[in-house]
Amino acid sequence: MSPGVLLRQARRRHRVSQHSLATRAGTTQSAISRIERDRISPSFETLGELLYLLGEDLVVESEERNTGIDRTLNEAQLDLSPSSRLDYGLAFANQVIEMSPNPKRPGWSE
Amino acid sequence: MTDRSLPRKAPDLKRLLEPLVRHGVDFVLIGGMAGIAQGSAYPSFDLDVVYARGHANASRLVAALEEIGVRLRGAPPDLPFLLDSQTIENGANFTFITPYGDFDALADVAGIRSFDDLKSSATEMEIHGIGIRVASLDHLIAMKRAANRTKDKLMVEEYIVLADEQKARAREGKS
Repeated sequence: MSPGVLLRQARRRHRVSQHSLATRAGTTQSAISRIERDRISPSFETLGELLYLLGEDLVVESEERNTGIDRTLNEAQLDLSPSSRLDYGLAFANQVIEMSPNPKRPGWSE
Repeated sequence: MTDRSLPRKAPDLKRLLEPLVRHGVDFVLIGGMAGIAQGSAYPSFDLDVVYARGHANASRLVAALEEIGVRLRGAPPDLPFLLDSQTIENGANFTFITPYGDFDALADVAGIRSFDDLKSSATEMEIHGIGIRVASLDHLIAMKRAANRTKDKLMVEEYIVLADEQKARAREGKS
């Protein structure tokens, strides 16, 4: 969600006009409008202050992203020595090369 | 159009790394092989190193490359290529085909500030009895971010997870 949408939704929840919010914040209605239309991106502090003036707190959270990486593969790799990891990687690469329908580049002796 | 061709075979690491180390080349392993050494599960099909700039290191690199036997990869067979320290110093990034697989020797890589910066945070690892420096996951992430191809983006995600896992293991006292 953009900062503008977040602000507009909060303002409407509290039935406050852009003009009223601008008055509370000591700014202009057009500045509030520009923020809500995402024409300008407010700083974290400005957005927090505007929400505060609507009786809300800006809460920022961060959570672990689902990257889709299968951690068990990496855990298994980390249990091996670097040499064994590379042996495994090279064997895997050679299998991929063998199975791939993609063209092969000319080798050293070609 | 993207070149989706693959080499005939994955590289023979020992045959490529041993001459570099024996000739005293100042280098750091990067790319997919470095990622695998750090615990990545993605395959890699060539060997990439970043080498230090400078005449002395260029001479050592040339000696190692002569011993390995290299040709420019993808270049027309009749394109003249003189392998000497002047060529290395005048250029930066060389992609080679060798009898032991594809090998890239790079000096100018997006995502890293300097060779010294890369080297200072690299991890010393022993690969089949050969001690080499392997780029840190932080630098591998930075280089993959800079390259920004689809496969690089996937690897960035994996390297971030891997860095977390390595830190968790370090906290638990595992290697």
